[in-house]
Amino acid sequence: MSYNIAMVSDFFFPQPGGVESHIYQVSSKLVDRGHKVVIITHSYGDRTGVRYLANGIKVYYVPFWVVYRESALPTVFSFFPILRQIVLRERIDIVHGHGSLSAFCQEGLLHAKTMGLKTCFTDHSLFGFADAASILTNKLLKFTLSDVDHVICVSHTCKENTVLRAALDPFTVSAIPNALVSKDFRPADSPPPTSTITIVVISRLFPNKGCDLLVATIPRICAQHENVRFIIGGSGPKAIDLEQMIEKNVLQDRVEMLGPIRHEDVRNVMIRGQIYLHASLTEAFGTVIVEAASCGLYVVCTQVGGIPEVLPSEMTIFAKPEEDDIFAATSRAIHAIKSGTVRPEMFHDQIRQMYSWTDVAERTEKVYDGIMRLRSSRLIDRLKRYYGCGVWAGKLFVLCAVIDYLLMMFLEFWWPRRNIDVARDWPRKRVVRKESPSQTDAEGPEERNGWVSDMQDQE
Amino acid sequence: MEQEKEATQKPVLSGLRVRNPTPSTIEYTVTTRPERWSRRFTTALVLKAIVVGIILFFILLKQDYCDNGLQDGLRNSILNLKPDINPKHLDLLRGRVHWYYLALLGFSGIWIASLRGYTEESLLVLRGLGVQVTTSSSSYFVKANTRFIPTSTIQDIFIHEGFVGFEVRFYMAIVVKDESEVVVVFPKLLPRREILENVWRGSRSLYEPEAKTQ
Repeated sequence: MSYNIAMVSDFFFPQPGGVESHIYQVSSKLVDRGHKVVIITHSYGDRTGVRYLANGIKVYYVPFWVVYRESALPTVFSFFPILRQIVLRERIDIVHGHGSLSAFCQEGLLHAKTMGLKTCFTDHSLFGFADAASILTNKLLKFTLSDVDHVICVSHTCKENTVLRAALDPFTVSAIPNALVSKDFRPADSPPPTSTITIVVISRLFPNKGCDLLVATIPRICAQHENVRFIIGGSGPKAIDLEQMIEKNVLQDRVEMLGPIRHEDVRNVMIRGQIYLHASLTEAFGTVIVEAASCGLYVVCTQVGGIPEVLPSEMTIFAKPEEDDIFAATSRAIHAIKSGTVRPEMFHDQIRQMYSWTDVAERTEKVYDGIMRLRSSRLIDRLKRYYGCGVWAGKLFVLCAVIDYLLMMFLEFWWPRRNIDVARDWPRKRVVRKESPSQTDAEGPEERNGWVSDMQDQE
Repeated sequence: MEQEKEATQKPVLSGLRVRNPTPSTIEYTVTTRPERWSRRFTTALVLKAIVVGIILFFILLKQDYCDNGLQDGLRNSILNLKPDINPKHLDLLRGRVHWYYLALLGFSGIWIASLRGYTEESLLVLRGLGVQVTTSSSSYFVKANTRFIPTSTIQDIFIHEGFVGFEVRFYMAIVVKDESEVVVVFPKLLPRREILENVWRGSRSLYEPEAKTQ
């Protein structure tokens, strides 16, 4: 059984990032499994209209206003006409939204439900419960997710978070981790000598990535250990703090700031070191630590969010997100590397067996199989569910759903179904259902996709 | 297309007409023009006749009023036909309607009568020479918008999709050398995919050099 799937999100290439590459990789693998995937996102600059990517993935860059950090203006109904056109012309069965901060995704899920399609949602991030923005997002999420057929989270921590935020039944939520293209993250052919220990940090330099912890810890580590060097890659508002720290402690010869790193250069930076330090304060999954371990680095990371689930314990040293503990953990890692009690170069093979996009796509497909078996709910059932969302919000949501339904009737009258041309499909691949484990491991030559090189930064 | 050399119009698909005037030319026409004596055609004709009739009536009435001394032909004949009309009302109407209102009314009447009411767009493919795209104007008085593109400047002809208002539509476009914008064929009507594919196949076989030698 092959499905026509529409991935809806505000976040997609050319913007670099984790959600973006997740959507692309999963879509690409789903196409390999014989499904048809279209991606719907808003336009980026002059990149408007319909484009094809490698593997026959069709991307609709819908012209829309962008309000904040590449998120489209959250209008409740304005996306419906276009979405309906795309859904009808591509004969979509499943609408799959990505990212809870994406207005496109939230709107798309609501309208898809109104049109009687199956819906799925993937949450990529963790949220708080206390501040105003989170409360608003959570309320909105409760609205759209109260009627979504299935929710996918990137880690179990993320699943718990989403279940709480959107008041969902945990049985409708699955945890499917991210993955990585392990071929692109091979360890160095000859590991760097252990006479000087090099610690690598690659992250966007934002407060939530724990840059303040780095500022506090790096001078202490440098003072304690003679031959330790740091390489810091990435850019962001906290870069200036790190530079001040370097100047204040006169560490110019021991701490190297690389600035923004292109995604395909990440491996080249990683293999210069033996230890990867990840001091993030919140993280739903943390693809970068998997990449680091795959490159044969020993990982020191804070025990926050979904990070503890990501790697087996022999590859990591966990620390509490505080200065003293990170310092202690890093010191332990340095001793371990020096004494040779860990063998980071062996990590790559383990990671390769643990994470592959093919596996992610397979599991996502199982979710699709499940939701396609569900019966689509009647309008009155949907309204009951929306009504239960809150005293005032519930009534508002019911109103929105009813207006949405009427809008669909109007669209059906104004742009009748029979006048919408059905688009031609890209030739589908021969479906390979049963894969031997060796095939799953050895990823084919199409794995390396040239256009990931568009990425400027590293998530 | 080669076998069907008769230069007759034949609908291949609804909305598309293909003409083959000579073996090396082929013309595709997409139109919203109604069939002669179809309901839409007749309605438009009747409406236009009514508009012209009303304007003529006012002009004649006014004409009567000015030549008052000579004869009151129209006025009297109206009164004869409908004796229950108060002649004062008719005179008041005649006096009220100024010449410049009449002129305005007349011009707008002419404009309405000259409206085509349909759009006709065509692509004429001349094998080895090039293609000519034509879009009809909205009025009978304005010339159709025509552009000829020689084969030597055509880089490609393709069908793609794009956003038009709240819709996603297929369109056929010609890439012209040294121009930043493509030339969209049938830009107003944007016909359906079936039609475009038909036209694309025809245009392709004609402009490609290998087709020329056949």
